[in-house]
Amino acid sequence: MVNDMKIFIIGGGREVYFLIKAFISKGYDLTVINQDADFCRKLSRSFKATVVVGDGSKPFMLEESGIAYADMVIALTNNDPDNLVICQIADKIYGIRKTFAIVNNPENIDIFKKLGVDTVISTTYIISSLIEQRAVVDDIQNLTSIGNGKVAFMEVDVAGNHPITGKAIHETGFPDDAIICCIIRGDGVIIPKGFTVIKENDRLVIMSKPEVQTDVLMLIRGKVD
Amino acid sequence: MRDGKSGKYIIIIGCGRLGAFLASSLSESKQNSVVVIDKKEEAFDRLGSSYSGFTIIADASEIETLRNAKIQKADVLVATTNHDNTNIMIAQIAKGFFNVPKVIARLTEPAKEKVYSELGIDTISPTALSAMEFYRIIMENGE
Amino acid sequence: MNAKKVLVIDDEKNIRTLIKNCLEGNDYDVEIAVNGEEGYAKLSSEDYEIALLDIQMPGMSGLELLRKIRENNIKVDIVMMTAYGTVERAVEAMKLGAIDFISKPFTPAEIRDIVENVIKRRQLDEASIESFPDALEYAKVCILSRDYDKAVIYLKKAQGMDLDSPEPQNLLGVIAEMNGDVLKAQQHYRAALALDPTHAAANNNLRRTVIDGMDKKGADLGKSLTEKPEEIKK
Repeated sequence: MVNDMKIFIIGGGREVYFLIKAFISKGYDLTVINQDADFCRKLSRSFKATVVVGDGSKPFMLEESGIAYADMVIALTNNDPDNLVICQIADKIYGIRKTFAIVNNPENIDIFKKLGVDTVISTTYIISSLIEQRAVVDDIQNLTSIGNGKVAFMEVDVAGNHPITGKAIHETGFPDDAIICCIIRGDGVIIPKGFTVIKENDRLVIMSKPEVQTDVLMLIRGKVD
Repeated sequence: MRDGKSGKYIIIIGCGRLGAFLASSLSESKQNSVVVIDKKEEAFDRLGSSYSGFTIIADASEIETLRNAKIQKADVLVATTNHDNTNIMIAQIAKGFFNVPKVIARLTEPAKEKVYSELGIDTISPTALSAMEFYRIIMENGE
Repeated sequence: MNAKKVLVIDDEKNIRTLIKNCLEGNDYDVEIAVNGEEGYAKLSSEDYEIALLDIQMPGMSGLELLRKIRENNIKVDIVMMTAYGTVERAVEAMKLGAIDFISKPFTPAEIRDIVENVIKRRQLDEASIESFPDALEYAKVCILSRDYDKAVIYLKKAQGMDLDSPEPQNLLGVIAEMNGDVLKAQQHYRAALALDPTHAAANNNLRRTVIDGMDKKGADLGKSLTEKPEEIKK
């Protein structure tokens, strides 16, 4: 039964509070091991969860907290080696298959996976890739999104050396999940049809799902950034 | 050594008292090449004047540091930092990713030793060793 | 056989001792210098087969010493020792005439192998040069020690062994340049590019002589057969 799922959360800061809140609402059984006594006191007052004050990177602390009965272990300490060892002890000693670890150094993602950690999350990696996406986007101009980010708009200027120049839209193989809403050409605006030919210096206003934006840019410019 | 010639290439992580002592004595044996890695430059002050080997100031829990130390050529790696889990992680990287033939991790907590031997790492716990030695001396004298 | 004389020039005592320990007992007579100035004094008063030179030293740096050695025509094979982050400068050192480089930290086998190989290269003689790489390598040694006539002989030999390879033409160009004949040099570089249009060294040399005018200092001898490409890239 899903409701009997026992989850161990070791270490971590404020995010733990929200994780517990989310898990409790799903009816999971939670155990938290954290070194911050004040934080633990607050957690135990707010939630129906087992809260242990202590260093979860120590095997005896895990054992005494009853990790043997866990179904899932989430290691959130700010020290990569600690998170690795917590997950390994859970997996190799207690046979817990579902282990999650946060890593600070993105290079550790692969290492942790090969050493047996089930799921590895690097916030550094996530943030840097978000910034990278953003940087690409800034190059393109005026990106907005609607529908909680499910639909994205962007404007792209067409240069003479772009592969799309001189082609009719129906020839370009434009992705299904993207559409050129309008073309700004000189002072005029064109609402394009399939036979409309893209010209140099056109500004294309494109509506698409976010996941195909890279494909669209490749198609228009032959490069992403 | 990895290529069959004499002289070992030894990497020591952590230049505390144990690491420094090991590094100095291993480098005195001729033809060995020893590299000590520590995050803090001051740590290398512990190396005696007789030390003949390399020092690298860097965080050895970053794989990049290990690569710069040419870990792929190492015959021996000893992880002696004062943080057990760091030693464990480095030991596993050395063994699992770079096939270092001999890898030893120092553990401060004797209780962990059993746990890690199940993870397949050679460990040495100075605490347990000295306790055993005390025990031996006490028992011998007692007879 | 006489012990071969090796000079280690490094400001760090640890490293000097280490190299001495690793090489001793292998028929090497290892001497040390604790800085560039002392190294230069020893090299100019005595003959050494090989000098191991730290690229980063207080006072006269490794590169400065290398330049001085070449300017004063001291005949010795120089191996640069680089630390992490100075590998780019090793490439510069190769252009200035260092024969090879080794990156720190190194294993006992690495230091022995490099010394052995460099000395072996130096000892190659006519009878033992049977392969194209040997002839080419020996020609490079001759160029680095300013023995251009001999270098030309071996480059022709190398050409005879492999007609399609661009390297001998590139090196003949370098020699022509050193002798002050830029037009002839450009002919050789073009010949090298005709054999292999992607040959980087010849491309660089041609561009340099055509566009930048005469600047012999940047002469590109092409990749060393012993250098480690993955370390160069870093």
